[in-house]
Amino acid sequence: MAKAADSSPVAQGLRFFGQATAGVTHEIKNCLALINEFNGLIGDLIQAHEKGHPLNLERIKSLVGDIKRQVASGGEITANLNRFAHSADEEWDQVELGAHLRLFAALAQRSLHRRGASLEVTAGDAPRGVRTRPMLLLLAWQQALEATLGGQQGGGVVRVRLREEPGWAWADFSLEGASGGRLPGPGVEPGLRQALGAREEPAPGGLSLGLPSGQDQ
Amino acid sequence: MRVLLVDDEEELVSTLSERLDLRGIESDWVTNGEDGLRLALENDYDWIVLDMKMPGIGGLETLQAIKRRRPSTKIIVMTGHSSSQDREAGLRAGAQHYLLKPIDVEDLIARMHQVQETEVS
Repeated sequence: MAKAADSSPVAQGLRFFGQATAGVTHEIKNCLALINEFNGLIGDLIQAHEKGHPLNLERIKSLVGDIKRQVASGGEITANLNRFAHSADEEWDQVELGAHLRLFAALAQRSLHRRGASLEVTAGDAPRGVRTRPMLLLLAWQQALEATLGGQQGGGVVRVRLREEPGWAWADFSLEGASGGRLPGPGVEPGLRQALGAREEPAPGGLSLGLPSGQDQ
Repeated sequence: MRVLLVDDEEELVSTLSERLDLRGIESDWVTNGEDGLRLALENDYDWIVLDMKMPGIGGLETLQAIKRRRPSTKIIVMTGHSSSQDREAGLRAGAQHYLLKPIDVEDLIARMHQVQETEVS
């Protein structure tokens, strides 16, 4: 008989860590594949020129620019991977929710793209800092995202808007531009919510996840 | 030789197509499985080079759909993962070869020629 998967927040966090890392390394590999093709084409054009074909200098300049762009993109992806890896350094830490959600959006980008979906974060004017468990919070964003998408594969945009209430910072997840969406039932697992001291409420087109703010944990 | 390239990474397939063109190999490219399947059924390609991970209908589903309707179509699957899962699934579904990204265009062409030479002999 197959052994049931460990559903503790830590085990879920580790599984999420593995999945997110796999997605990010895929993106890095994609950057390298593109650099490889651009570099290869530059080599091909030079070789053709050596055989007597006119040199298309504009095309070569454009390819050099493409390589520079991919290097910048790869740098951004590895910076996100580094921030993600460091999210496990401290069990509890002060987290700026907008930046944390944008990191999550970058990590989830590949898997969302494959489903024809995307994630947009509206952090509002003021940064909302909370003392929380950064790694588990990434897992909570993942579960809230999945619940908002409702298992549908037909695309759409998930918008996350941050707002503040006395003692609480809320992230409102809503799905736009897709049929289906939010499934009944909890979005973020009760054990994970408990580990974060979080609250969840239904919201139009999705759910709201509340985190305690302005208090020492 | 006429080749169809299918990969959701537009810059990758368009550049690969340009590189094949410089080597005298005619190629078309599309960025999703649906268009890949349509072109594969509408045209007579010598080879289809197919990415395994794409939005919508993925590489494996596209491969299976092409093989169901045109079993003799020759297909090379590309995968960005070092995991053997995708390439084994591709080979089981009837692909002739697999290549790991980043791919070497000379290796790609060599594999196409290798199969065609085997068929001739």
